[in-house]
Amino acid sequence: MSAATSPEVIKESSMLKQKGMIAGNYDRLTGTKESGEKVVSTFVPGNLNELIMCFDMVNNLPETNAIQNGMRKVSGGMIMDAEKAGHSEDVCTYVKADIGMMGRGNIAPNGKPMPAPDMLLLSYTGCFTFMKWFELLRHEYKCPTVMLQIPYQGDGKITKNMRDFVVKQLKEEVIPMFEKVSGVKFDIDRLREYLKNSAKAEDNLVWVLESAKNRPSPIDAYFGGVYYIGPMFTAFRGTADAVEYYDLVRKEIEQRIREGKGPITPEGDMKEEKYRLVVEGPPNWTSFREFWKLFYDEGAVVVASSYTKVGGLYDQGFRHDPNDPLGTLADYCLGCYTNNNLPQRVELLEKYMNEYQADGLLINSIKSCNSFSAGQLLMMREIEKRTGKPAAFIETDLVDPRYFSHANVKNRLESYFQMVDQKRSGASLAAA
Amino acid sequence: MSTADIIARCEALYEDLDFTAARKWKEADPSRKVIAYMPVYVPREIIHAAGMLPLGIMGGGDGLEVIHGDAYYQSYICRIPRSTIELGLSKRMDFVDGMLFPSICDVIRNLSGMWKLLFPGKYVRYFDVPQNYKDDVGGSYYTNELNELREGLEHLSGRKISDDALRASIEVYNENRKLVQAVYAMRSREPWKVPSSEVYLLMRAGLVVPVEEHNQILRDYLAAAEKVQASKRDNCRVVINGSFCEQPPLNLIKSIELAGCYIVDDDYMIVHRWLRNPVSTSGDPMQNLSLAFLHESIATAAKYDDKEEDKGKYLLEQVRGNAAEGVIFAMPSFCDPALLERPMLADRCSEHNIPYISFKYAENSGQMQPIREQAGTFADSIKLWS
Repeated sequence: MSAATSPEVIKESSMLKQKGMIAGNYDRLTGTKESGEKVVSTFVPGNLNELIMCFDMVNNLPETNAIQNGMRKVSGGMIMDAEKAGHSEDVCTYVKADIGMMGRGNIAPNGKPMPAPDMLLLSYTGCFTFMKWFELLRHEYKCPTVMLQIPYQGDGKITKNMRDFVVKQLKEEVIPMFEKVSGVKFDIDRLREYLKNSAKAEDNLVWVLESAKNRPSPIDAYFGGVYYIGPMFTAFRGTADAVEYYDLVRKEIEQRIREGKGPITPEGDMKEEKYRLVVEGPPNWTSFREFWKLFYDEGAVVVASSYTKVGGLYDQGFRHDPNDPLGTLADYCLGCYTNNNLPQRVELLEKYMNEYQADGLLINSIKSCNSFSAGQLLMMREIEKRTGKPAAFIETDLVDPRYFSHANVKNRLESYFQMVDQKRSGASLAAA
Repeated sequence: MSTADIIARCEALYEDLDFTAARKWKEADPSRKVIAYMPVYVPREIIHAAGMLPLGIMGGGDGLEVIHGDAYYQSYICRIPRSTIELGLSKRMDFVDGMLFPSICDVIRNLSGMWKLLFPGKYVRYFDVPQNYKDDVGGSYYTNELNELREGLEHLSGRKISDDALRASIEVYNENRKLVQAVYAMRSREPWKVPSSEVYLLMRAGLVVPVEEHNQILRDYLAAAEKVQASKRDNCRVVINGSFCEQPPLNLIKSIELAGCYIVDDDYMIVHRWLRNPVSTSGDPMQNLSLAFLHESIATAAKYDDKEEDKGKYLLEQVRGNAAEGVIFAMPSFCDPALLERPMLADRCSEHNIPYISFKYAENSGQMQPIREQAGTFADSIKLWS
């Protein structure tokens, strides 16, 4: 479907608010030359936004820049630029889109050039590529870089040693570097205040995500879910704006439940909920609308997804705790979804399958992302074995349009929905 | 014993994907345990001190038909995890009591969880290492991690690992490091007498036999190689970079040599050379292993370089220290660490006017003609115009 023939996108108040927040952040970022504010680049998982705010610095997230470029369909050229410059076709396309963007002047969605970062905060959480990505950026920008290593939950638990290590790095590496670059002294009480805001917003985010347990689900927890997690996972967690946003979105969804409505899609309210799915893996961004349409046209709604947990497993009980400011940041970073081991990830998906009464699991396997993708075929088998529900596997990429084949994805989804139907009719016959 | 005899034994060990030598070692005493590990580094001293055999697993190479393993991985994931799964599912590793998965990349990291799911009941540990090299930050964390490993192995064997046993094991591995370095130094000095394919097989043997046996193999080889009569060729001296995890087929190494290159340094099986100097045998052995990791480790793409100016420093040392004339970046397809690192290393090479070429391989690559042509052209260009 071309953009020219797209129907007008339906937007609710919360969407407009989020749009304004994102635009405001890009204006702030591109205006630092005038404002004198300092910029820190960092990653979404293990994003320490509350801490960044303590130093009056502006948060720039290369992943979200890549997503923006993917959705605006300009990432493909950037990736090819990076490949021409010597970056392998085999590696993460977020990295290459970021490097390619740099080569084209780092133009933000508002059309203005983004400043070079004053500091790189390498929150090495759940993704090996992050480490190399920021080494590559440091190689280009030659700016101060601080690493926050987050140990992986290899045995499926957070040990005292891991937590102590993260807290120690925060105290002895990260905070001193922030103070040095920003010139602002660290104030732990200021951090506590931001963390209080975070916890309030997190309560409402969890409520929103769990609203998908209703039938019909008032939300799509994957395609819609990426909007719901937007402020929380990016530059707004800890702000009053984020608290207000999650209040607003909760009220909208409460209203949808009262009215018995399904999720809102770009083409309006989804009519009939025919399939309830759990999805594992990030979405494709370059064809996001087309991808989503393949689901809502078939009456398929995603009731839970793992991607919406990359920036924190709030629905499993985690909340930022103002009473233990640095410890809670460590717990947050250690607990992000891709920092969980494979058995934990399988258990979580199984739990979602049961708690959200899903008809099946769909894995969108991303070429770029080994952190997510390596092991997904075993995860699929495990879920099928444990739940008896059908699972399916499709392959796309994050921001490289060369790896989104609409016809292939459509064929696989259609076959999958037929499989779900057959499974259902088999179950009905068995019950009769 | 001639070098040919020694290498024939090493080649037999390399080709034996049933790990017969390790099986026999275990069968000799019912209390013995075998702990397998993947690239790039684990402190084998702790396994040794527990009375266990560290067994290096480098995938299945080009001698293993992968039947089950491919069903677990998408086409865009490297080959080593799928052939390792194959080794596990085909029961070639059924005698192995535990498996360590070092922190190298997300694929090997996730393989640790897959191993837990596929082989319940086995001791499985994701072996994390610090990317912070300060004694009281990364060092404290790592010492505690080492102690967790020690406790895990104690639990598995049912007996304590004493500090004295650890010191003795450090001693024997210090000897191993010294001998390995001597072989590498000899190759760098006289590569016509010490072909890289032989060095490679010597090091592979060290992954599957007890370290004491490997030490003897290395001593024998060093003595035998001194007597080798071989003519020096007008080859170009190169350093291989990027082959630290999934290993190239032996034919690829031979092809590079046949194309007119003397490999004077490499990063194959870097577990043997991870620590550049002997580990202290006095005081707290765990602390010593930790400090050695922090301050004596070689640089590789699986590690974070704390400072921008350190990027490529080790590679430049390899080039200068071995009088190399060029670098061959030989990397497995889909290897994130190596492929993401390469542009930065390539820039360093350019800054220092060091010629380089790049190519990718898989452990089961079969067609060597393009590699030979590329390496040959590279060698010619260095000889003619450099």
